[in-house]
Amino acid sequence: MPNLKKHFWYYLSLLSIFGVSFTTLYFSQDRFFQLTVLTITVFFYIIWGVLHHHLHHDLSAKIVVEYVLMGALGEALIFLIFKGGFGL
Amino acid sequence: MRKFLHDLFFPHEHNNFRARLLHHRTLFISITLVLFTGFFISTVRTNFPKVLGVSYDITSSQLLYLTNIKRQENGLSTLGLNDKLGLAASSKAKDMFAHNYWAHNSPVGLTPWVFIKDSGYTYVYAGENLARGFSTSDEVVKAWMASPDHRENMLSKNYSDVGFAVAKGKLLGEETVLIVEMLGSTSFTQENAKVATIPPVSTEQSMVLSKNESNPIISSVNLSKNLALIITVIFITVLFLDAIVIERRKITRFVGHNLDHIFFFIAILSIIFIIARGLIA
Repeated sequence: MPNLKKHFWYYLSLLSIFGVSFTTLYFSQDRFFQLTVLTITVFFYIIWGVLHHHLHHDLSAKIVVEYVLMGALGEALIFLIFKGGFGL
Repeated sequence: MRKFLHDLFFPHEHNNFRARLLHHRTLFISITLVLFTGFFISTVRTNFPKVLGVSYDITSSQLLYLTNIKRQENGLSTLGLNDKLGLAASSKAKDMFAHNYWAHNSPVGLTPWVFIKDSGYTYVYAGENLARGFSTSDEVVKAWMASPDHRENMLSKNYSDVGFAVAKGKLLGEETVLIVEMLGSTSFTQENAKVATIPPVSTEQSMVLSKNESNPIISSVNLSKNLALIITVIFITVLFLDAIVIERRKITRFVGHNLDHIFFFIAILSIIFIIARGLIA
């Protein structure tokens, strides 16, 4: 588990990305726009994760794949609601 | 079974000190299963709408009752159900489904007042509230009350009549329940305002009001939402357990930060709640 104090600014930037995403989703009335916002958020998360490791000199292909898979799982979970729940 | 679950959820020497659920291969399988489940639920709801689909318990009577309770709590007169406003609300709902829009004004510029006038209701004051994707009347009224503009409409002294339409259909590609509320009054003064207390609805009466013959056995929204929530919580728990065990044993691994993923899945959890709620306009 990374030291929160040491990584404070990284996590603040991550939470800011999520904060903007939540606000946009909360006020959005369009499902397709919501899905687009979510996809952009996931994309930013992957980029953020890769950059975070790159700046700490411990980036590897395995780690990149891990962030891509975690992001894809998050996207798939939301897709489950859009496709299964809303029938979009 | 116990060994399998231990391997899946806890890091140890046999899974390379990483919970099996977090291995790339298992993650890939999980993604595939989640996507497959989405398509499966969608296929079942299309082919067997009586089993799986949009389920709701919303009626005009319940909406009127709950609206009047809110008005009484705020020292206002109660509203009366008006057939003409009900017809206007019904026409608006049909127009929204027919022209596939989610707004107070139609794509061809028809305002809510056109539907009210066409119904034969001669208004002095008029207002409209819209909602979609809710499961119960209580949720609809709570959402309207939470929004300043909709609350103002519901608690306006200017209105004496109300009409509701509750219709199920496909709007903007989404199978949903649409609720239209048309408010109005035919005079400037509210001398004839109803101030009588709302008669309590008996349990038996409530059951009759809330009975909806077209409801499927399972709500597709609730099923999808609950599945997504369970999977998300499982991943947050496993990531947390994995991090705790590795931290305590002081094991060095070259993997992504569990804390990053925990934050990410907590964000997904919040997003699930945001998108699964109904919308108002």
